[in-house]
Amino acid sequence: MKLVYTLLFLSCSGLFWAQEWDDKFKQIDNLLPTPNVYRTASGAPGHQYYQQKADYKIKLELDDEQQIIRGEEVITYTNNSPDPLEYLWLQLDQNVRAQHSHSKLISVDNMASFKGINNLERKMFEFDGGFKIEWIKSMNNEDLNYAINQTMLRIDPKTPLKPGGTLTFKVKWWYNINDRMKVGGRSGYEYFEEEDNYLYTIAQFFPRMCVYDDVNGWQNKQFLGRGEFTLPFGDYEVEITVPADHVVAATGELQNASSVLTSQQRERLKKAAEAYDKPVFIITDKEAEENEKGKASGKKKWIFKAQNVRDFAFASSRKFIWDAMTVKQENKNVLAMSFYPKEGNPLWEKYSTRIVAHTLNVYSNYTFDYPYPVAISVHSRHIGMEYPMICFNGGRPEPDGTYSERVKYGMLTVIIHEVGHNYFPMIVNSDERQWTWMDEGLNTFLQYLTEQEWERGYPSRRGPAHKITDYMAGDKSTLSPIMTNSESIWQFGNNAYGKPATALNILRETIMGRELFDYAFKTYARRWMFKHPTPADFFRTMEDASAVDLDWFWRGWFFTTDHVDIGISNVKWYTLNTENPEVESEWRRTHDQQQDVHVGDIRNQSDIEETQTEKYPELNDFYNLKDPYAISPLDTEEYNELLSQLTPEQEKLLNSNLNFYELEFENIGGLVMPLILQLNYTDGTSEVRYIPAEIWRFKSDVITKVFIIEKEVKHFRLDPFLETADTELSNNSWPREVRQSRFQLFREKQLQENEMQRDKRAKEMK
Amino acid sequence: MVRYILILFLALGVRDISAHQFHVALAKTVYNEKDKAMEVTLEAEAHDIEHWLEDKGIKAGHLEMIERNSDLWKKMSKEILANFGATTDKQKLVFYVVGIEVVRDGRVFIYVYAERVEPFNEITWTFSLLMDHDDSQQNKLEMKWKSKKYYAVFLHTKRTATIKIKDK
Repeated sequence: MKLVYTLLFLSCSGLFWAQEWDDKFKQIDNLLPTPNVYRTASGAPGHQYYQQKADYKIKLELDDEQQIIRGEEVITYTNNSPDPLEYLWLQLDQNVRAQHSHSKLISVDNMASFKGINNLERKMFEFDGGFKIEWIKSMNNEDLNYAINQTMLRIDPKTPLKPGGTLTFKVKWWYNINDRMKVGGRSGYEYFEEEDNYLYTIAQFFPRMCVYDDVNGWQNKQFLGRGEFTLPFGDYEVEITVPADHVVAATGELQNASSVLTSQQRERLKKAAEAYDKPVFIITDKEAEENEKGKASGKKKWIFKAQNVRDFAFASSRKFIWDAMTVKQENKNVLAMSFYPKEGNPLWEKYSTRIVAHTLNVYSNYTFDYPYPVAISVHSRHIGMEYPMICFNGGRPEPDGTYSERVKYGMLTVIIHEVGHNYFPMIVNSDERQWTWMDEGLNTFLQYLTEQEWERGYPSRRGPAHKITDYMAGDKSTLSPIMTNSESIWQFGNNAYGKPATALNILRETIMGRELFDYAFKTYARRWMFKHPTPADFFRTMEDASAVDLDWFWRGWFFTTDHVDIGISNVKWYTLNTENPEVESEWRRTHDQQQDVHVGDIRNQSDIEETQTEKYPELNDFYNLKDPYAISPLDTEEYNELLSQLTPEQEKLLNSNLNFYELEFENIGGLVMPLILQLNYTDGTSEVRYIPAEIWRFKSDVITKVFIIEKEVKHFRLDPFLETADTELSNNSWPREVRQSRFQLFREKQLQENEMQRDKRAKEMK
Repeated sequence: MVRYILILFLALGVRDISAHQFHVALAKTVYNEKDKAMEVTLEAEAHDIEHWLEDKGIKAGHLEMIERNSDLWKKMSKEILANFGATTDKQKLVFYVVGIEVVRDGRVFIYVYAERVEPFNEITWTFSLLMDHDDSQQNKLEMKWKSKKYYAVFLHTKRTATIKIKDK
């Protein structure tokens, strides 16, 4: 801080308008749909809000010899909308793996993609995994007209389905199950070659109703692979026939435990229902290892029921170890369970069910009590995928039973995330096909809170503001705003998971504060529990329930690719002119002595032996002889006269020794954010001052702000706690600080002695 | 129409699919004027690198277990440097991997270094790390030259990028 000015006049400076005014605080009404009877301006469901219902009765057989699913379902669709429906749309998600799927055609290639034999093999890999629809019939066995368009299937009832009416129909289908390790996918099977066994994690396995609502009409946007699923709620009854030695985990509650479980297993399940502290084994590792050695010839039918869910998934294998414990919610108990092969141990038996239970507790605290009877984590190599009450999660130790720290945290993280999806979008049922961030972003935010409550210093990957900066900085050509359709997002993970989670964390920690944020967030979750919210419903609720105008924040963070880079570009230091000649004369003397001296002046002191005015003193006049720091009686008299005109308060202020620091802040990144300024004083103390983001409302590129302080500031630092996602920290300090690169830090570490060298030196000392 | 012969890299590895959502690698490069060196920190998901190496027939296992200067280290370095490099208007930079650091949240930092780098007016970066494993991979590079930063983005359809120095 080199500049020190004397403040001669305190005057009010008016606010002024930039010539081209970029209004960062313009309300976002023009970006959101108009409120109506279905969705209110407060963000709540409107008085005529409706949603459709789809109930399923499914009979299914898993062919373990050929890896085929064969099914028959009865769908009862209830039209709660005010509109007659001429046709109904169903989703055929497995068609994304059909031989003529558009998903294969829309990937952009060039020859650099064909460098290796593996690349070529992958590009040319053929697998027919699409649905084979055998028939669609009415309940009196008449064929129904239908048409298939890629991943969508349209049924044409003979007469439109009237408001309030129901339509029940039957579908029969089959498809080849995909090998997840070769074809990829959210569901499929893993083959364990050594013992010739399969572990199936099965989802999107049946033709499912699309959502019809006030926003999209039918949400029948094709499934291209990324934008996930948009599904209505309903009740499910599912019968799954599998090899007799398989164990099945599924959405819902098992209805025929006496037929498929041993009495010992049922007894253990009862114990698990009273186990609140640690899991109880239903099937132990030894029992599972014994079970996977042979292959039963018979079959068993597992029956599950689930109410008010938007989907159904299951897992089946003869390899499963099974453990369970009970989680107490306010009004009910929930059974947290894990199903895993021996390959998941020792990690899975130690952590999986415990982290499921922990996730339910933390998420419920921030939203609503978990409403379902079970929450299941199934081991599934590499992936993480969510369904109501059940999810498939990776995290596999080495074959020798050891595991690295990151495999452990990777597993905990994925289980928290996928179990957390029960809340978003399985219950707060947003449109995943349209907006990935509405479930992934909100879920990743709560995932971060859950991780931090699991263990202090948990290595969370997403959530804290400073972890998103590399993504947001720099070239914007391959960035998308958060408000981008799921299929068109550049950098999917950072855009739809990381950035919205960070944005919510910033709202909670910095913009709104924890109390206001938590209340508004819980309000949103409860308003839209078991309903279909849109982005506008979220934006509006967060404002409506908190009385914080967040339009500027939604606009910048969700509708643009701007980033945060706010720097201190200048600091001017002023002190008050006390008008007291004694004080001011001394200040001038000191100030003049501290001025830098030109090199010529220094050399002239010795090189010029005698100047003319030194040789001939008569050449000096009044100006040469005047002591610039002398105080005349007139100065004293004028000062006394000034004092006589001041009130005691004004005199006190004049002698207050206050420091005035005029700081210039430059907004380089475009996003406006609060100014969080740390002032480090010369006496070693410090304080932090918070200036709301609205300081940028009239001018969003450069602003100045005066800080009036008794103490003298040694150093200013902007965003000292890394809470605004500022992408460039080098301009946050005044005077500037030099920051080392990660490479330099690594190299320094490398130059230090290693532990063995240190040990050797210690021994040499003896 | 010119006919080209496609020569395939014949490594038979286990194909593996990872269903996470990252698909981004980052390079932070700094031109060290004093040492005339290019200092680079590559950042990626450790399991992405592991699967990518596995795909190329290099059974790397966990990266943190690879011993420096071992055969595995050399193979890994060769693959990384085949997908990361730079040529200036003065010379082709010769990089070598000087270290690897895997952190608890699953990221790996790969430290890469090139010495005897003369000041330049223009530099063309190649950064195709992981792109032959996943078409949706995007890489991003930040280059610090004196006090100024330059950025470049790489896609599987655009694996090189040229940066012109503006403040010479």
